[in-house]
Amino acid sequence: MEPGNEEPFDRGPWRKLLEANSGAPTQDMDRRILAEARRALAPHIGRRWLPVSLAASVLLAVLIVQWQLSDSAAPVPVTESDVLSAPASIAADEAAPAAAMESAKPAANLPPPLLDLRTPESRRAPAPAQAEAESAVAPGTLKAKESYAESRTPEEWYAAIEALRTSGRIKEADAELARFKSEYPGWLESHQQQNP
Amino acid sequence: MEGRDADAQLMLRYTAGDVRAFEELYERNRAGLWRFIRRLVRDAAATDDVFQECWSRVIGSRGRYRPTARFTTWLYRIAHNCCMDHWRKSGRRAAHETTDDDAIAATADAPASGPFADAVADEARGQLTRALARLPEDQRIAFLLYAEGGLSVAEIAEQTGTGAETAKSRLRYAVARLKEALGNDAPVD
Repeated sequence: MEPGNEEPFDRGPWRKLLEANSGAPTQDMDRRILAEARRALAPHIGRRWLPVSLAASVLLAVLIVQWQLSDSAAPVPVTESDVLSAPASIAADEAAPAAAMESAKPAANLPPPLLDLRTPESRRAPAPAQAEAESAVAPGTLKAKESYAESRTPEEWYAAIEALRTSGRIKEADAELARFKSEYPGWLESHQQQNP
Repeated sequence: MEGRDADAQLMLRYTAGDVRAFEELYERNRAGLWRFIRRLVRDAAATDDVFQECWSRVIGSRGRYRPTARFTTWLYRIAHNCCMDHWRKSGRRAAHETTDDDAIAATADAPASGPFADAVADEARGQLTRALARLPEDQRIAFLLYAEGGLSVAEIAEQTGTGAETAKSRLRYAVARLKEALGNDAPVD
């Protein structure tokens, strides 16, 4: 027998005496330890399900993107209240010729957002990025507006100016009126004489 | 040895995710481990804390468990380490302090068969408990690791950081003192 492996005395009788001579952990203690042992295995079970949950997450993300792409491609429905609440100037802008729309195409060609969480109402209002893109094409739009102004009759143009003023866009109305006066000098005076 | 060590097999099953194996493993070892810790720390509340900490370490170490020795050897080593940590935190008590002797003796609660037998057995248990409490700490640790934990002399030497001869000497002194305290009630070799 190797040194240290021999038994200096028989431990059996001593163990029996020790076993008969003590208490034991409480049931509450037993429950706590067994619960801890069960909890410790929970992450192990979780790891087993990780690939499944990952695949489910990827599938869900793909579905959401697809839904968003199809949703952004569909035209936003315009309600009757939208038409009624639109200012006259906007109504006039909507009647702009195709040239103006063509010049604004770069903005329209921007890729749709991957996840557009805006409400239908806010979608109808230009998003900040979209507004920026629109402002970037403003010179082209202005040219289109100028050519549009030139193609209008003085009566139509003046009516549009009055509509601007009525809607509160006074500065634009004044600027437009100045352009109108330079384009049709004396027309306004004669018009006012005819319609006092 | 590993093939016959049922506790080690249960631990391996638990590490593989079988919680029932742990329940069985715990049931097989809970009482002995609790007694071991109770006799070392000699305080009821501390015994609960150390006992729970010990099993927490067993649970936490399941991923690193390798059956290179008997499971109980590993378990009682952890328990001894937990006791030493407890002593370090709370301030080690004097080796011969016996203020808890009566309380320890009161934990003797094994069933007996008759009033006279009860009285005799209770007396013997009380004597053993008091005698254990009076042992120098090194001897008490060595004796409990040997008798309760089932560690060999070499394992006790390794666990307590001494040589095999020192461990064996502590065991002999401990048994001699216990026999002296128990008198006729002491086990016969």
